[in-house]
Amino acid sequence: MRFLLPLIFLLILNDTFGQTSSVGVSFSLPSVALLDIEPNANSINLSLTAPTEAGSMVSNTASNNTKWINFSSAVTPGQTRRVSAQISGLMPNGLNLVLNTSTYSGSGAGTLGNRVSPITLTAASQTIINGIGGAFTGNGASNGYNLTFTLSISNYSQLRSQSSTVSIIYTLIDN
Amino acid sequence: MRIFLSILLLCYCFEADAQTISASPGWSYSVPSGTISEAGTDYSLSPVSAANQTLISIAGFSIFATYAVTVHKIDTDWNSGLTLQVQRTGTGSNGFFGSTNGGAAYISLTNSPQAFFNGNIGFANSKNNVPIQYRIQGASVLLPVKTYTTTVVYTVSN
Repeated sequence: MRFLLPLIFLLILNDTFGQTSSVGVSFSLPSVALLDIEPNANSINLSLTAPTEAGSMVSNTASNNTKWINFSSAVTPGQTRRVSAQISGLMPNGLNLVLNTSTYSGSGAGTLGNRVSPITLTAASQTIINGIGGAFTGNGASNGYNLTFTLSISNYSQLRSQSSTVSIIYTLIDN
Repeated sequence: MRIFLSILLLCYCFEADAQTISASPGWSYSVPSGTISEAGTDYSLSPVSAANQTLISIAGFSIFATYAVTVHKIDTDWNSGLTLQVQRTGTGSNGFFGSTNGGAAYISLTNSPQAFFNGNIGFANSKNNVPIQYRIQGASVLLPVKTYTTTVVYTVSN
């Protein structure tokens, strides 16, 4: 009997302690770098207006602010990105294409970066938004960074009556 | 004395060792590249595991004993913006007159144990292959790109 009581006690003890088992769960998020132009990638037209009075200068009221940059960006800890812009094609002699980038507005969130503005677009890549982290701008026009293009006369003597088509290339790139 | 030993032997037949619980396997999910197709937008997904991603078995019970399973997580490298949820999608094997209650809807895991499911083991000493499903909410491009890991702990008691 002296040996049985401890045994019964042990059986009771076994019933009172909880036991555990565990499993691992992991969840991986990929890098994301998406950029587009809204409301569409259609061409815009900028024209200088010929003077109607002899001796007057060419009227330069050409500007367009219909385009917006949207992006989604997911980065590794500490990483940042920037958006650069450059011209592909030849600008007419005597003219510059100036890009003003607005401050951010819209329904997005995150580390949306800061504009670098204005810049005169060239064939070389230039930063227009910097310091982008994990962020999304919101989709469509009125979300993101508004772009205003303006023609600027750099040299009257080189102006000719002509038309030219250039493309603007935007790149979302790691810093 | 003979009667007492018989009772003890009978108890031993239906009484088992300490209750045990086994759960496996775990779950790994990687958000596929290209999930976001429109620039300017965030994720709109809540990944869900297979309905029987983890199978839980418990053993070591006396017949008709009650049992209760709790669940919590221990974070290794988790983000508070992510919510890990679990639910029970079946009953597993039931002993005769056994029952399984609770856990049939998603609960959000915290770092403190909370009731998951419970019941009566029935005319059996164990219950096998209770299927468990996971769901993760809160995926966002705002979260750093990396692999987040946590450990889900199941505890059985009676």
